[in-house]
Amino acid sequence: MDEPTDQELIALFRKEESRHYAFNLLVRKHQRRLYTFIRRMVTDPDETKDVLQNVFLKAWTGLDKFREDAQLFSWLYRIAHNESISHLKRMRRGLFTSDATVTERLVGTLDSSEHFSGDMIQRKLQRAVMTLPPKQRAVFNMKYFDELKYEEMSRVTGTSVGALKSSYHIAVKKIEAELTLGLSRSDQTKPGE
Amino acid sequence: MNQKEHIEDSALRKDAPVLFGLSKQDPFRVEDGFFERFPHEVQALASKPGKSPLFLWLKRAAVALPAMALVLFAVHALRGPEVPLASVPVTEEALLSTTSDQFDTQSILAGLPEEEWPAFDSVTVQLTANEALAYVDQHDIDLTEYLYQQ
Repeated sequence: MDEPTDQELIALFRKEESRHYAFNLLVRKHQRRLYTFIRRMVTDPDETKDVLQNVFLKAWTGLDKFREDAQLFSWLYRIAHNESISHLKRMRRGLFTSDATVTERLVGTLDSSEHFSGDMIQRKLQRAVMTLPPKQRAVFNMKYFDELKYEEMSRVTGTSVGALKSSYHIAVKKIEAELTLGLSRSDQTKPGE
Repeated sequence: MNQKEHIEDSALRKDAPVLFGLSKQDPFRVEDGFFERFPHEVQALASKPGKSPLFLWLKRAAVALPAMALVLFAVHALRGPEVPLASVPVTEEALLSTTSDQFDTQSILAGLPEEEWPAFDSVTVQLTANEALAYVDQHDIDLTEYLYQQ
């Protein structure tokens, strides 16, 4: 059986008798992409699960008011973006500390081998991404990993296309600098190892 | 992607050869069976009956009412005294008679010879018209005689 379209899912959701079934299908359809986006933002798997749950609970309560001319995935992605940013803000408030300390915690989680399966260069990349401020990190992840168009990103973040381009370009340069620095450091340490 | 974006993208790729030379893999590990269990878990949470609006209002009221009472109390406590409408000079005798039983000034003074009594000056207290009338009424003061003495 073919996967139902978003329009079909919304139509099913609006019928009382098929509401739960439609919601289950909707979660199955979109959970992986949203999970990956959130995981790249908050790193920790348990926190990712909590944020993803919140995203779908908000979708459950808001889907009745969802306009059918908008894209369901963009709408869910927008909720995921907002929830991830809010989670990082709460984290900062909870720790009574700066963005730098939150970044340290995220990198610490990343370094835990049980959560991360990438090689050395992937670890360097993710560490570099973690050093970006949360909103810029979201922009980078959307464009670089998820390959969203700027117009779509603009709908998700509520930011202008021009500002997004600028933010992405700055992020790319920062990460390239971090990666190049990381590589030159590892080149220098190799002879002594 | 339009032509302009394509050019921008190519320029960016040239500026960041290391980044764009990497494979875009997902290095984050997800526990086995997570995506099979998750839809059921989130559905169970969504199906839980929500709290009624009445409950939410009661919860808000439980916080708001004591706060409001505290504010009202603070306003009442900080409010200045009423504007005096009349001032009545109170003599030593009147003061003595209105001294509280707790201090029992009369019995203290009775134990002392008169020359050792402290010098009492006439003290002026500010009373409102109603308070002054109540004072006169309570102490059966003959106003005509009082004014004549003054």
